[in-house]
Amino acid sequence: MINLKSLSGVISAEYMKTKKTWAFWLSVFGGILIPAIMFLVVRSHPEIVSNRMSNMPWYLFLKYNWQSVASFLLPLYVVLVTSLVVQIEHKANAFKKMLTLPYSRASFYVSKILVILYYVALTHIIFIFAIAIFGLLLGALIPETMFLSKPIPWVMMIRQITKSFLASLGIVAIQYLLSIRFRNFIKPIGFGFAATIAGTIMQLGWKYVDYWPWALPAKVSPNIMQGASSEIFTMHEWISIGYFILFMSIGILYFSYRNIK
Amino acid sequence: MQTVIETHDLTFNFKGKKKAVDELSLKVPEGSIYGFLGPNGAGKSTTIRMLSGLLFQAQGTIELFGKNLKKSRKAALKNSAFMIEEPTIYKHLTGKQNLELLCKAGGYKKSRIDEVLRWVNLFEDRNRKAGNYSMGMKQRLGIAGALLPDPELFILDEPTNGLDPQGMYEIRELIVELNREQGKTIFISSHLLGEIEKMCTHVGIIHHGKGIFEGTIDELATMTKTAKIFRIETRDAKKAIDTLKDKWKGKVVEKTIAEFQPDSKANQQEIIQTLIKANIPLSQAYEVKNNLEELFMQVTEK
Repeated sequence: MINLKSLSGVISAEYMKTKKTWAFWLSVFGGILIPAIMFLVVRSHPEIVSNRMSNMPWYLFLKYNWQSVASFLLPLYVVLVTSLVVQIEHKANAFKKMLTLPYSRASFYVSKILVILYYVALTHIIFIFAIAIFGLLLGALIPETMFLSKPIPWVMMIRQITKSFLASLGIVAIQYLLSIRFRNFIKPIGFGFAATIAGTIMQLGWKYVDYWPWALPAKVSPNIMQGASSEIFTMHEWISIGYFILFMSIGILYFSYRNIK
Repeated sequence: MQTVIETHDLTFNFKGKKKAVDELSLKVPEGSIYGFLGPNGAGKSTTIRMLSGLLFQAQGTIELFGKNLKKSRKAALKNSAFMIEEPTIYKHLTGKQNLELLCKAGGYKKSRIDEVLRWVNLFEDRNRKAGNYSMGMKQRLGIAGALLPDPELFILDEPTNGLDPQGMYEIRELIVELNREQGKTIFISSHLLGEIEKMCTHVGIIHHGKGIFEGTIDELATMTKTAKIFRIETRDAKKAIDTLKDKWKGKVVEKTIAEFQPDSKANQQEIIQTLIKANIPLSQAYEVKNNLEELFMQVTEK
């Protein structure tokens, strides 16, 4: 179905198309924005990371950053970046051209989502690097925060973004299908926006919130008690992966047998 | 001569509407410039989309290079390139980057980029943003993209649509050049007879989804000359036909209407005179346009 050699070419082409576009800048600045704001917050109120549990400034800093993005900004970012990447194709009138090339339609469907996943991963990576840099900066500016005397918790941070990335997969697959289906980007973005807001409301106590894809990233918060002994992934990552597989399968079938007008 | 495109009874209907393409059979010989002619809404684009695999036909078969499109899609599309409606252009990239992109995605040789840019006369403008190109340049960039894999067959859907006369001329020159110098088979749709006449060797005409003519451009010319239909109304059409059968072959349309195909005005007058002499009363005599001619009125007017 998918030839690996041609896939690497397709991915590099995809990357060339999207670099320096809104999708790229949104991913870069989206990753930096909240750590930068949290930097300003801690700078004026250092006690929130140093007073209560004074030996864990990194954990608290990560937690505050995470809480600020998880329930609303991260799902919204995923909704936007998915639509932006697909919109590049709609605007260039590219589907018609691509689908007359001698490759299977399934391989195009897969290659495109890989680029979206690349950006979602990129913004996560930028997020933890931004946290590390702003943390070190805070440590230098306000020594009593103890950022400099404690090691940067890379393992915890990498585990956190891995969980978050996996918890975002369901949203990506659903939004991707909608973005391909509707040329007018207002439709998938509007839907995704509404679904994200619905997710934040559900957090207040709807019992099936665990099954709402747009609410899943908020469910994988960092937990200091989660040591090496407990399992790394909770049910939320698996639900998200389940949604991803389901909607990718629907998407591939839909895309493969659809008449392109 | 080998047949490059062959369709049998190709049919497509959009949901709930009448058939857009109705049992269309085409044969495109190798090395031809095949003009696919028909008024707007005749089913040209729908046909091309089926040829490219974008639409799936309701019935009938498509073969490209003898390979069935449904059964062996990759093999059928391997030597074909398409340009459907507007060309595919990423406006935020330069002309050259647009082609690099296609090379990466399609696995084509990068060395061809400069070559095809020269072919379509865009080499000078290769580093400008494609979004700033004129309509004609965009169209030529689209053609350049389609040329990258060095296809044998080139299918273009109304490539001169919306271009000014200069742009139309350039595209036409390019198509003829590709055919003569590189031996490419070119299938090109248009709603303008004038366009087709200027460059094509073969013509297929589609009207209301049905194929109504297919042949060389010379056959088309002969066909249109002899296509006039002359009708007379009389008491007994059969008697009139019998009277004239030595010189003209007639056909009974209705009991009182007979039809002939004289090839000049003088012949029409002779028919009338002969009938009057034979004492056959005429109530009317008139020319009717046949399908093809009626269609020509539509495709020749701009």
